[in-house]
Amino acid sequence: MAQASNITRTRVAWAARLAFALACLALIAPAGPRVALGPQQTVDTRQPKLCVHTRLMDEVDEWKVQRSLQMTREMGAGTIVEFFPWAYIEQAPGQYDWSGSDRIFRHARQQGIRVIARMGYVPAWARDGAGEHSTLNTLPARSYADFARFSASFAERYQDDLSGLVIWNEPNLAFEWGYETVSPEGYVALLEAVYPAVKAAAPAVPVLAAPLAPNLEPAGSALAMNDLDYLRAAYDAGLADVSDGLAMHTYGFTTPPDEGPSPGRLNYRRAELLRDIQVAHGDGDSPVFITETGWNDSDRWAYGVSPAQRIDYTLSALEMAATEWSWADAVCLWVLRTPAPTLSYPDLFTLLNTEFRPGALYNAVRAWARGEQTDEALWLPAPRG
Amino acid sequence: MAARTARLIALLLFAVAILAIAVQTVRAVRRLMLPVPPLVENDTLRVGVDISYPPFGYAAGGDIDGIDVRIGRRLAEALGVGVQFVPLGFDGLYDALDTGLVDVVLAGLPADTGRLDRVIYTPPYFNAGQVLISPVGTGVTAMQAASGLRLAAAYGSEGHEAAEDWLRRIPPFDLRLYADEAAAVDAVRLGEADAAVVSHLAALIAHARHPDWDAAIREVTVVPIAGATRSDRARLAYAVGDALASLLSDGTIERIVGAAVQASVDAAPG
Repeated sequence: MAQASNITRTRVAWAARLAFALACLALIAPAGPRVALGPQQTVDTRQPKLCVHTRLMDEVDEWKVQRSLQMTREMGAGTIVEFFPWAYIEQAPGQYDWSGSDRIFRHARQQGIRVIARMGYVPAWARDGAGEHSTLNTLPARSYADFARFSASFAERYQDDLSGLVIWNEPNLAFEWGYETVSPEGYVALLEAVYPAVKAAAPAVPVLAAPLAPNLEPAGSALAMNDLDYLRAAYDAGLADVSDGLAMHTYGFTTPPDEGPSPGRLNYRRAELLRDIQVAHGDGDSPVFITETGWNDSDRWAYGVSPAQRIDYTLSALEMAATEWSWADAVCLWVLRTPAPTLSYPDLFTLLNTEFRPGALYNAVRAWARGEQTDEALWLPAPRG
Repeated sequence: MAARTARLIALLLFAVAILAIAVQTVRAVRRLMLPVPPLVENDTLRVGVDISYPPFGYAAGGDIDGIDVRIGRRLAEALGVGVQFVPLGFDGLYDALDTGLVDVVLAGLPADTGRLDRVIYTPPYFNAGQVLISPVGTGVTAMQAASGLRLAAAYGSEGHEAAEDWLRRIPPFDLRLYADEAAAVDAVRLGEADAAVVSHLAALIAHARHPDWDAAIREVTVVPIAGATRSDRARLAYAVGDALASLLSDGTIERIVGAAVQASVDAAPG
């Protein structure tokens, strides 16, 4: 009995020593990095429509979120478009992890920046039974109600900072539609589930129909549906009743921004053709948010232009939207920066590299937005033989 | 009594183990007796390519050509199957693998270690990183030798960034920035700079445009370009990888790269 008591006392003593040692180790472990919000900021800009697409939900470090939004403000952009993957936030039904989105909105608010939120990416639990090889873009119809519930929760949580809620992305592309058959009617059915849920939760947040990928695919293509045909079909299926406006993508590819629009041509002013369709279907009073635009200066991509052309075209395009497109509420450049480089031509869309080094276009847009003059030559003239 | 119980328990465990081994053996034998499924459906290797990205892939007179297209044909030949090319955009490459739209992706694709849970990459067949290009005989064999020299790069490029990193590490050199990589290489060719830091492709294209210019190319950074297959199709992945490795070792890939670069230069307007 006495021996058992001694053994117990010894074990308790060792347990106490171990707990003390672990507590000491925990105290000397380095503290996590802290990011101070700082004083409230406002965006100094002469271009209220200027906007830029960010990719912050994939950032691990909070300081990079803050730095990105700080440089967005310094560039003169008062709005961002950000992608908020459903799969990141609701990893199990009804269980939300808002930490990633909370910190983006916290820093955006502090920088004086409004947010247009793009919703998408389906969690695995919502794709159950969709097939062994479903993708993050595969949204079975039986999960429309879950997506609607999530979108409503999101809109309610962030309604004070949201300028719009974009439902899905480029659904006229097969791969964005989970490599299922592209269907404007199917997309409108999705909005029929989402729209009332969001409006009930956050009535003041505009629900924006998804932007479409500009393309010239022939009818019946397995890869995509022509954006003009898709929008007409979506309106015929009732799009105007389940949206408060349109998001649009319009890229310049290899042509200057003033090249005239044509159904058989992909250029910046293709946005005017989409606008015409919107007006023709009685939806002209609804706003348009151009959530992606720009040029790429890769000298190897078939759709790239030179760095000098990229600057010239982009500034002219922004000026055109500011002065001639009264129907466009925002024009958002694709893309401020990506958390990791693709090491391929998509990197040449960025305004900042992954180390936050501003490219020539960032400096030019900043000068334009803030009304500053810049005569600094960024590079030497081409060598002459 | 206790010893007898222990013996009985040991005997029981031994019997269970023998039974488990027997069941697994029967299952294994049955699996081995199943016919081997074909590597690809319909005896056709479906290759995802990006035809907006010369010289890896581009449209050529109603057909498609490029490094990846030529490699795809040789791989299918090595596997004894036909080939079908599926043009894809960059954003949809991995999803095309996931959904089974293609069997393998060859699209000037940089290998991404973050995707190793879902894809198997082939051996890399091209380095798309930065290189140092300089006239033969100038002695600029590495970035360390650039001090005091004139080094050209394209403004905002990976080469520009690499050069700025080196400026912090070695005695200074004169960094001369141009609008694009072609101009940076021309600066070297025309004597305005002693060397240029540009992408490997830019250097090869410069060689193809000016075959009489005797220039040396040396690696500065490495970006491996590789093919990709879905990780649950290991047989196909290893067959493709082995075939590609064979093409690398016998010099076929190097010849394909050279020929495709030249063809894309010849096909380019102006």
